Amino acid sequence: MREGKVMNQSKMYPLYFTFVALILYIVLFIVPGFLGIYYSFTDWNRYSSEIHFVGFDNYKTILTSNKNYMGYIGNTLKFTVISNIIKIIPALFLAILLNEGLKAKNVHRAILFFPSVLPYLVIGLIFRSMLHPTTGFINQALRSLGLDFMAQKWLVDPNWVWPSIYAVDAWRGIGYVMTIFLAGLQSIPEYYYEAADIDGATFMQKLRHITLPMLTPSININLIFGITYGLKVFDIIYVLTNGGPGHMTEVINTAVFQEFARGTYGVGTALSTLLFVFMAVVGLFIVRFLNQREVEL
Amino acid sequence: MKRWLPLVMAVLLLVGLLSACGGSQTSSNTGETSSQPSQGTTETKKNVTLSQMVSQGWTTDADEALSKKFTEETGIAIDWQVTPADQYHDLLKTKLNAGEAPDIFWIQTNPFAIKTEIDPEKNCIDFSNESWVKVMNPARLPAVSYNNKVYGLMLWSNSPEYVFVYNKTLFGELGITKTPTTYAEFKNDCATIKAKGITPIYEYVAAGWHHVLPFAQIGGRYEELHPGLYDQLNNNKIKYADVPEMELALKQMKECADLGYYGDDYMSNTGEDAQQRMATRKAAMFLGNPGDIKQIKSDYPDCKDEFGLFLIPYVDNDTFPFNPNGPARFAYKNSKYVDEIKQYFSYITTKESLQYKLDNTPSITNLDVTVDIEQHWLPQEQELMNSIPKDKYITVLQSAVKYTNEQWMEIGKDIAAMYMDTMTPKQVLQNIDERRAEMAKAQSDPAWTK
Repeated sequence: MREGKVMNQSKMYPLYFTFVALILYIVLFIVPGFLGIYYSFTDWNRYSSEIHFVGFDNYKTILTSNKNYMGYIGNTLKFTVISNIIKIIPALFLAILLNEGLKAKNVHRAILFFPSVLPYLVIGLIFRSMLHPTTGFINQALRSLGLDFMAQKWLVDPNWVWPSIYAVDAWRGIGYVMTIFLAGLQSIPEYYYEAADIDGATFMQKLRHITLPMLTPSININLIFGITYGLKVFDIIYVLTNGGPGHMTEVINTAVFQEFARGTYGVGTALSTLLFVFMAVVGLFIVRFLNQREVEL
Repeated sequence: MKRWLPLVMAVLLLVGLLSACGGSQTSSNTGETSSQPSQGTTETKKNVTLSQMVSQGWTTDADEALSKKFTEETGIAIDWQVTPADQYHDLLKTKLNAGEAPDIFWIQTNPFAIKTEIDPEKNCIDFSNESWVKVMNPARLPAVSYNNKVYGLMLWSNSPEYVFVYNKTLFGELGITKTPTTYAEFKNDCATIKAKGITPIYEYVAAGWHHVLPFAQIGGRYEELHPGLYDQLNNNKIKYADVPEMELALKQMKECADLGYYGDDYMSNTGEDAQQRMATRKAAMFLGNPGDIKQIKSDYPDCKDEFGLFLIPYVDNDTFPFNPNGPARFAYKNSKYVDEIKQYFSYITTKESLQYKLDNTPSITNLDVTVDIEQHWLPQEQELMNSIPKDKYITVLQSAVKYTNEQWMEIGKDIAAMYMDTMTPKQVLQNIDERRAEMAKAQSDPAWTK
């Protein structure tokens, strides 16, 4: 503790060392961000070189349009919550399983991580083909096993389209989440478990009192990554359903993409700004909450 | 040894980075180094690669074969970037907006839409003085022109586009001796076909564009029932939502879907197997072109059925879907290879190339060009065209009404939502009106801003 104070006081590096990095960060990240917010208050579009200030018109459009932007925001939030639950919990148990007690664990780890390196476009093409109700592999396999009643219209049935997206997203993302957990698990000293074994602790007791508290940093990282990924989700939806059937799986970024494609940049930036503000607030809240929890633990 | 390891790794990393940078430089500039004259009249750079972005379904094997022949003769390669139809439109527009368009790209042309789609003055090479411009039928020039300058090349057929292709033999076997001319007759025929366990209509919604056709191809019917409607729509005197027949068309499409006439998997279908389903009698009809009949006969020689054509009968339509527009190639103004692009366009518009394209493309029966090539019209299409009075040849909705074609894929999403019961036909029309107003205002269209 005392040593740390001395280190702080001595100020080993002068502040101007950060200037280059700060300038780059400001120019490449902060300025475009604020420009985006500015443009959300204008009628910036592809058809005119003049840009006029229109106040909150673009935000009014979002709130009052027939296009159900509020529904898209709801879909984004729903995806964020559910996709994280579906990925993080199984990934935790897979990581525990692959950390010890399984033969050829490196092979298993590699297999589980493999989908994370596949491009979204490839995943989209593969799964769209596999999930086709008539010619798709999944339904054909189910039918050949006599399980016709389980064959569904995966990507077009309103009841199945979201579960299908969650499943494909979990298939792709679970390996990545698991890898972060694995790194966390390997940093837990073995003697905690040895001591617990001597005390006769069960698996669940060890999980609750050793693994989970010691894994808190990894859980936090996965939660933050997962939440930001969920709020920014675009690729997986775009390649699987393109927001369909109809507008059922439309999320904020598919709507932003459409606005930009149509050339109505003002509305597009307004949607992006809403997403940014929301992510900033949620991100700040979560980071503070998790840090607090980490300290308590 | 261990001391040297980091140094070796660092050197390798540096070499790797440099070669990667060099690689990208090479791929974009290879053509600059070895200039050699081609067999054509202009001098060309060898080893140039032109990127060509196209939506799935617009290009054929013959187009790719022609580009290979062109490469053999000139050394200029064509990198085809074929994109799924449901993503093409947004992707191209985003690339154009970002200033990263491919050398050559295709769009579904429309004189009203050309500015909003690709802004040709800003993005496209002016081809007005190229000799191949005369190859196109003059009636098609407005679709690829803007402010009296020609920017695109359209090599498309002049067949009746998107009418119902039906299995004549099957219809006969089921006792349907006359093709339907009203919606009531159409529904009866569908019921008869469905009762035999055959999908009456093969529809494909997942492609994003095809299921909009029944609504838009009968634009002539709306205009026939309300003379001057197109003008009123273009002058913002009336809205789509105010036209009862448009709502009726959507209701009838929805009714067909609800009655199971589109089959079970129309929402997931992407259209690639349309001909296969027709040839194997899994479907009795689909919205297609005469070329599809030719293609079925060519790809499925075992299929002995005969096929015919009839007009879309929604809203009792009896008008011919006249459309001078079609997919066309345009070239990116900021491309480094303007001369090579012009050379390529000249090559594919020679008489030999056009004849090759027509002879080797089963999906088309003719090419609408001024060059004297041997056309392969089908008797079915000539019969249909001859049976309709010329005053019933009325331009389709998307080519006659502003701000419609530009939102084709979005209309597709709305109609899909209607099929899923999350939107009503009226809401679909209101959404179209809203997007039209947005586009019109963005372009300061006086009919909307005054």
